[in-house]
This record gives sequence, C-alpha cells and structure tokens, in this order.
Amino acid sequence: MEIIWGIVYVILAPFAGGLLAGVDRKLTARMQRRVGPPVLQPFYDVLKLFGKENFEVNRLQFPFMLCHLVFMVYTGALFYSGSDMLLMIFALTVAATFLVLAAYSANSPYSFIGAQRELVLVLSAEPVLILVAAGVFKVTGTFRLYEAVATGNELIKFLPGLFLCLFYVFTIKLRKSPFDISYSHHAHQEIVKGISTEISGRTLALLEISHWYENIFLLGFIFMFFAFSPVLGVAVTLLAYLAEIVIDNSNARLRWQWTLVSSWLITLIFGGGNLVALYLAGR
Amino acid sequence: MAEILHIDKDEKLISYHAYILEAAGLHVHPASSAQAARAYLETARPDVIITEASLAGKTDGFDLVKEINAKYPGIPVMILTSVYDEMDDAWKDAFDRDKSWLPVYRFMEKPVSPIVLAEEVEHVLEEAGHKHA
Amino acid sequence: MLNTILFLIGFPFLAAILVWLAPAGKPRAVAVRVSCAVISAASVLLAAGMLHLPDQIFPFHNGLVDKMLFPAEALLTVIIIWLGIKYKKALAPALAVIQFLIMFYFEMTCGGELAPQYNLYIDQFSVIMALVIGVIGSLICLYAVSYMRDYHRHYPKLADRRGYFFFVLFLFLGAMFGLVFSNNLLYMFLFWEITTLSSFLLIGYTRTPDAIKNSFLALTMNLAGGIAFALAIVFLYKSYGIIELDKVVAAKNIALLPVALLCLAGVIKSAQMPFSSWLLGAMVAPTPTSALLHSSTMVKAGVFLLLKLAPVLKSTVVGDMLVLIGGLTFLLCSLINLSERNVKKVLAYSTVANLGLMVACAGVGSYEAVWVGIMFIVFHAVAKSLLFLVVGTTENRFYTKDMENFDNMVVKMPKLAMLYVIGIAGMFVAPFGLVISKWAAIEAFLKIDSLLSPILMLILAFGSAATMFYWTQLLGKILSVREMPQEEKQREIRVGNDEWFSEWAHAGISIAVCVLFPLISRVWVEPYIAGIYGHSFGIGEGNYAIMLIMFAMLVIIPLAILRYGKKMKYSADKTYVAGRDIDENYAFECAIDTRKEISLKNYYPSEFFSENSLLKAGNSACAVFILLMILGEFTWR
Repeated sequence: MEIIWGIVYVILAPFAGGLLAGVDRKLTARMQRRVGPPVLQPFYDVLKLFGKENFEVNRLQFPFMLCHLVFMVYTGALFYSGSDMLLMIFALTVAATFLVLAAYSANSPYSFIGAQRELVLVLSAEPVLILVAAGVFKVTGTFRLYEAVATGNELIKFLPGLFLCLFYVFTIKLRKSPFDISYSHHAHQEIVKGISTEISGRTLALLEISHWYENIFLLGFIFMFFAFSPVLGVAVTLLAYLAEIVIDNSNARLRWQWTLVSSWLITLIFGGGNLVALYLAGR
Repeated sequence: MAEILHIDKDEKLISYHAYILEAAGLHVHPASSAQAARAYLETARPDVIITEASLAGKTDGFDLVKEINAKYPGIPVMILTSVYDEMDDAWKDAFDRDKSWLPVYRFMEKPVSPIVLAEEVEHVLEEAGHKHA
Repeated sequence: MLNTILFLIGFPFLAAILVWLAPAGKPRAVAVRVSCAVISAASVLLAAGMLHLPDQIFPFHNGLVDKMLFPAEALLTVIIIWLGIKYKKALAPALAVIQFLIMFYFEMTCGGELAPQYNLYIDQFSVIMALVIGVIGSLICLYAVSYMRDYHRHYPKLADRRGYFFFVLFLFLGAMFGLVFSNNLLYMFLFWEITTLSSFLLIGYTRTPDAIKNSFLALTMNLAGGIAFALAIVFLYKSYGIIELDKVVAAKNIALLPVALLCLAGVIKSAQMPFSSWLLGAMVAPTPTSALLHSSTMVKAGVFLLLKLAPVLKSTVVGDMLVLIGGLTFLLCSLINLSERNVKKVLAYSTVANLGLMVACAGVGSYEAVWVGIMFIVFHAVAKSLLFLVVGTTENRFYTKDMENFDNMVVKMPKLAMLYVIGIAGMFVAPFGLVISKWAAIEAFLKIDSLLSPILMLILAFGSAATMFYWTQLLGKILSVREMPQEEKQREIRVGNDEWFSEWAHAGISIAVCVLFPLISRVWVEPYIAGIYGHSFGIGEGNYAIMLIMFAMLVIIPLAILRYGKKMKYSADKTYVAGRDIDENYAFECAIDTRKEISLKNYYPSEFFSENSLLKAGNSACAVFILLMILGEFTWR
C-alpha cells in the first residue's frame, strides 16, 4: 500500500537529504574553484551539533523546532504515501509557522528580521503550491496524489505554466540565491544567520535535518510532473537541482520586495494563465 | 511640547516612563510627594497630570486629585496606580457603581508600557481639548 | 419544539428588561449570568431535541403578533428619527422614513389579505445558528459583565449606562433567534431591522464623536439594506403572492430581481465591499459589541439569508456576482491586513474576508459550497469571537490595541497568551476548522464549470497566503520571550472571572468543534443539505484520520515538552546583538556610552498593500458587481 512509501521516506530521506546537501556543497565549491568539504560533511556537522553543550535563549525554541521537524516529516510522509495534496500543503504551512515562531521567540534583532523575511518567503511561495494542487485536480479529478499520478497522467503536458512557477519558487524553498533572504549557510548574511541566529546545538541540528527532509519532499514535487516516465522524471529532477546550484552561484541576493513582487507576478501570469487555459480547453 | 506633571513615590519609575515620554514630545516634571506636586503647581501649569493614588498614605492620592480638580479644573488628571488591588471588595463594588467622586480622565493600573502611556496621554490631551505641538 | 423556539425568541426580550431594571453592581451581574445560563441551556436543549428529526414548519397564526408587526416597525422608525434629530443627522432618518413608507404602502394595499401558511420553522441550519447565538452569544454577554466593569474603571468620565448596554445586547439576542426561525418574511424583516437598530445603539454607546459618526454610518448602510429587503417583500407579494421564505426557495421560474434585492440586504449586513466601512467603523464600540454583533452573530445573519437562498442562486447572474463580490472582498481584505497594526481592525478585516468566502459559497449554490458555507459559520463564529474577547481583555489590561505592544505577552500574561494561541490557531492552522473548510471550499470551487473557477483559485491562493503572514506575525509577537522583573508582568488575577470563564469556554468549544467536526457535519449540516439538494457531502474518513493525527501532534508535542522540558538541561544564553553587551535581552550598550532599547517592529508592507488603494479598487469593482447583480436580471434574461 501507499503508506509503505511514506515510511520509506521517513527513514531514508534524512540520509538522501544529507547526501544531497553534501553533494551540493561539493559542487558549489568546485564551481568556485575550491576543493570543498567531503560529501559526507553534513552528517559530521549534525552529529557534532548534537554533541554540543545546550545553549538556549529561551525555553520555547526547542519545542517549536521539534514541532517544525515533526510537521515537515509529516508533510513529506503524506506526499510520498500519495495522500491529499491540500492537506499536505496545510501541514507544510504549519511546519513553516513553527519555524517562524522559533525565530520570533528569541526576541533578538537578527532572528526577528529573519522571521519577517521568512514570512515574506512563505507569502511568495505559498500561492503556487495551492495552484499546483488545484491544477492537478483539474487535470486528474482528484487531490489524492496517488490516484492522480498512478493513472499515468502527464501532468507536465497540462500544467507547464504551473511547473514554471514551481521552479521559480523552488529556488525560494531551497533557500538559494537570489532568494536566500532569511537564512543562509554562508557567512555573508547581512543579518548574521537570520532565523537561525539564536539557534545552536541540538536545536540547530533539528533544523538541518528538517531541511534535508524538506529538500527530498521538494524534489518529489518536481518529479511528480514527470511521474509517468520515472527515468525522465529523475533526470529532470536532478537537472533542476543542478540548475538551482548554478543559479545560486551566479546570482546575488534580491531584496525581499523583489522576491515577493516577482514571484506573485509570475504566479499570476503563468499559474493563473495555466488554469484559465485549462478551463478554456475544456477541463 | 506638552508638559506632564508625574507624581509617584517611585522616582525610578518616573524616569523609566520619562525616557519614552520625552521621545514622544512630552516633557515630564517629576514629583515624589503631594507637597512637591502642590509646590510645582503654584509655579507652573502642566498640560496633564499623572498621579499615583498611594503617595504618603494608602489613598491620599485621591484626595490630592480632588484638591487639584477644585483649584485647577482645566488640567486633566490621569491616575496610574497599583493601589486598586489592595482595596477591599466593598470599596471596589462602591467604586464600580459610582466613580463620580473621582474627577479623572483615566484610571490605569501598573504596569503600563511607557509607549502605551504616551499614547494615552495624547488621547487625554485631545479629549480635554488641549492643543500642543 | 415550537414552545422552545418561542421561549428562545421571547425570553431574551424579558431578560433585557430585567437586566435594565436590576440595580447596578451585583444584582445586575447576577441577572445577566442567570439569563446567559438559561439562554444557552435552552439552545442546547433545542439542539438535543431536534437531533435526527426532520425539518418542521409551524403555522403559528397569532393575531396579536401579526397586529404588532407594523406598529413595531413604526416604533423603530420613530426611534431613528428622534436620534437623528438629536445628533443632527439627516440621511439615516430619511432612509428610515423611506423604508417605513414602503412598508406602509404594503400594509395599506396588502395588509388585510395576507395569508401566510407557516410563519415559523425549524431546520438543522437554524439549529446551528441557534447554538451559535445561544451559546456563543451568551458567553459573550457573560464576558461583558467583568469587561464593562473594567472598561468603565479605565474611563471614569464615561457615562455608565451598563444597564442599557445589557438591555440592547439581550434585545439583539432575541431578535437573532427570531430571525433564524422566521419563515414569514415580514417577521424576518422586523427582526432584521431590530438587529440594525441594536448595532446602531451599541456602536454609539460611548457617545464620543467617533462613536456617533460610526454608529450612524452603520445605521445608514444597514437601512439601505433594509430598503432593499422591503422592496423585495413588496415585489415578491405583488408579483407572485409569496410572503414566505420557503416558498421563495421552492419557487420555479420566479424573476430574480427580488432575490437580488434580498441578496443586496445580505451583502450589506455582512459588510462586503463596497459596504465594509461600517464594520470597520464599528470597532470603536466596546469589545462585547464587536464580538457579538460584528463577528459571530449579526453579520452571520446576512450570510445566513444568502445561504438559505443558495439553491435559487446556483448558476445565475445573481449567484455569479455574489461569487465575485465575496471572492474579491476576501482577497482584498486579506491583503489589507498585511499592513494593519490595530488588532481590532485586523480582526474586523479578517471577519469581512471570511464572510466574503461564505458569500461566495452562497453564490456558487452547489451542495458542496453550501456545506462549506455552514461549516465556515460555525468555525469562524467560535474562533473570531474568542479572539475579540482576548483582545478586549488585552485592552483592559495593557491599554492598547496596537500589535506592536503585544510583545512578550507569553511572559507577561501566559494564560492570555495561551488563549491567543488557540484563537489564532483556529483561524489559520490546520487541522482547525477554518482551514479544513477552506480545503473543502477549494474543492467546491474547482467543481464550478465556468471562468469563475480559475478566478476563485487565484483569489484563494493569494488570500490564504496573506492570512498566514499576518496571523503568524501576531502570534510571533505574543510568543516572544524575554526575561523581565516581576513588576513588568501583568497580574492575571485582575482579569474578572466572567472573562476567564467565557474565554476558556470558547477555547474548549473551539477545540471541540475541531475534533468533532465530522459529527457536526453528519448530525446537522448533511441532513440540511440532503433535505434541499438530495445529496449529502462530507470529508472522507482517510482525510479525517490525517486531521486527527495533525491535531494530536499539535497538542501532544508542546504539552510533552512543557511537562518534561523543565527537566531538560540547558544553559541560558543572551541573544546576539553583534557582540554588544546587553542587559536582559532588552537594552544594549551602543556607541558613546548610551543605552538603547531593543525595539522590534513587524513588517507592514503598506507600499504594496495600502489600505486606501485596495479599498478603492475593491469598492469600485464590487459596486459594479452589485449593479450587475441587480440589473443583470434585465439584460441577461
């Protein structure tokens, strides 16, 4: 049954996600003519984080971060077990909320600005997710991902505009330049570490792990459009991720206003246009 | 630039409030007792008075307020106090039913954020018909 | 059953007189508490009694009542004229006179021959409304006991007319009960106008210039709606001999103009664009008014009427225009909230936005959409009411309505912060009801076979994203933590027991309706829908399981951490302020030996989402839709 894939995700995603993060760093380094850390570095980092002394700014951050992780895992599990797309998006929103609350609770300047910008990022990306779910429903007649995909629907053929929007917000979700305005692994943040400024030790480890889960979920979202041909799907997904690494390395950060305006415009034109086209074509 | 006469035993509290009130364009004159307040009022007219209810005694602030209202009826008075909690139920019930004996524009309980206090002062000044820069 | 209904309608009127005559202080408080208990018990008994029963319709031919209808109208008009003269306002009395003349003309020409079959009725939708009015409404009146005491303590110069305040509150409750059980349109119209009058009187309670201005604004707009209602009644009777609501819904081939007029009345009552300003202005009223009339009950009367008419509206120009009006209102009001700092205004715009979704559901008119609309009423009434109540308590303790002053509430007043969490979660966090209803709404709207479907998708996508933004901002402020000395914390003991009881009851009901969601659907909503459309609708079991799991996680994890977290070891640390020495996370040393307070203000992106431009755009567009709604009858026939 479908649930088995959800369980597979829960168990394997951190490994796949961590590996992906390691490969990401290696490739990025190579693009910048550096050697880069070992591919397994993310795992070493997280293990080290767990071993550190627990410095907390307040009592709420750890519970919030834990809830963020749990809901992120739940979102991905819902996705991979082919469950209802809207519920999955709502679960993702809850996860995002917890992350923002963790940053807010610190009552610190950098953390706070990070939280505001994170909210802007969610504001920029969320409309696309809902529209994608709506598009899938229009094409397949169901929100249940399993039924939508298992019947071999060629989602990319009917939802190219939405796929474009998704790719645009993919950059946002992966926290890549030019949209890495709220959080960054790199040291060049003008707001120090943004939402994770006040987070360290095991709480930070949880955040890292939740990123791994999230990335695997997001890759799945891209794959979904090509699920009718798994080989093509995997190829496109990996290509998309590679493209993101290139985009990350070749773009400077945008201001939050641009992030919001550009993603909304693109969503309205290409996403809205896609849905209108579907209606006119008789779906 | 409005002038506030802030009467309270706790001088640290007055300066804590003053820090924000000044930034909002409200100049604060502290007074830590009823006598100091009376002395000040002989020489100057503030635009608004903020006072504790419990100064030397438990409720002498109320008497001071009545006195000020009799002598200087044009100046709006606000009470900012922690005394309400200490009153007994009979007093609270009586106060609930009839407040006409206390001629004040606001009755507020501590703690109040100085930012909020500044806003309330602005509202009171408007209500009392004062115009200031 | 009929007796319970009559009791529910009549008792609040008696209670109103009782609380007005009761001596101030303890006696009045007791009178209010007892009346609240009686009303909520009666509503619950009504609901229990109607379980699994079919809809019932009652002749209720009472000569005395019929004779009193017109004089009551006249009395309302006189009161409005008198107050209009007193405060030198011309427009409201003029509208009241016009409305009266229409009804006078109707009375003279048709009064004698009217022969309605069934004056009162009850169905499961009315039961739901009765529960909202009776339970939530009573809890709000109960809350008002200690809230108004503290409110008057804060403003000693305000004339203390609490007896009169409670009188109008209970009068309003009685009128609402009357509204939801009336089948005779004349009865409904009278109750409708009593709610307009109550709103007017309550908004103007403090008699400050702002209060007077806004009370007359609300009155004028709602009187315009009343005129539309009156015209609809005249049309319906003169052209079709119909004076009863069930006959309007059942009629085949009737012109939609009277229906459009009724819809206009409903749209105005629910403060949709371009009529939202009255609801925003109504926020000057004391909080119980905002909670009772302007979020959970009176505004729902407008949506109630629209949902009742939904079967007639499906796939018509009127219905389509309603979809556009409601949808656009939802989107624009959600966007306006992005730049809004005043918490009561945030709640008000959120209310208008959610009402917009309900109006859109009515306009769609399919059985799924009506299901969504009714569920929305339930969840929104509870959650929004809770939020207004806690905002009121905040007003009385912190003396502010500015979101920027809500920092660190979790430290200053933890219980209140908890209530905020439940209330705000109820507004936008899955699996609470409002989000689940939104999910069902998306599905219902996707099934529409017209261009409205992609339009609504865009509206929902952008609007929902906006709601997450501003609710999380508010929640974040409340849950920000900083060390502070005891003197800075508020004493929760100061909050009155009536307020606490009401707020915790609201929180409990909020959680209960979330968990018991399928039960509510199966017992009340689905039978109503099935009765009208023949089908029923519900959420799949699998999805309900997902919701439950999410709910469990939401509750269990924080509770577990809070319980066991005390044993978790951690070293407390100060926040990072670029290496500066800071003092208890509050102020830090900066250049030239000065101390600066850390002040953290939210983003209010008003350059993109300015209230003025969005209102202008929305009001113009919706004004056009309203015109089309009424005139479309003639051009598109």
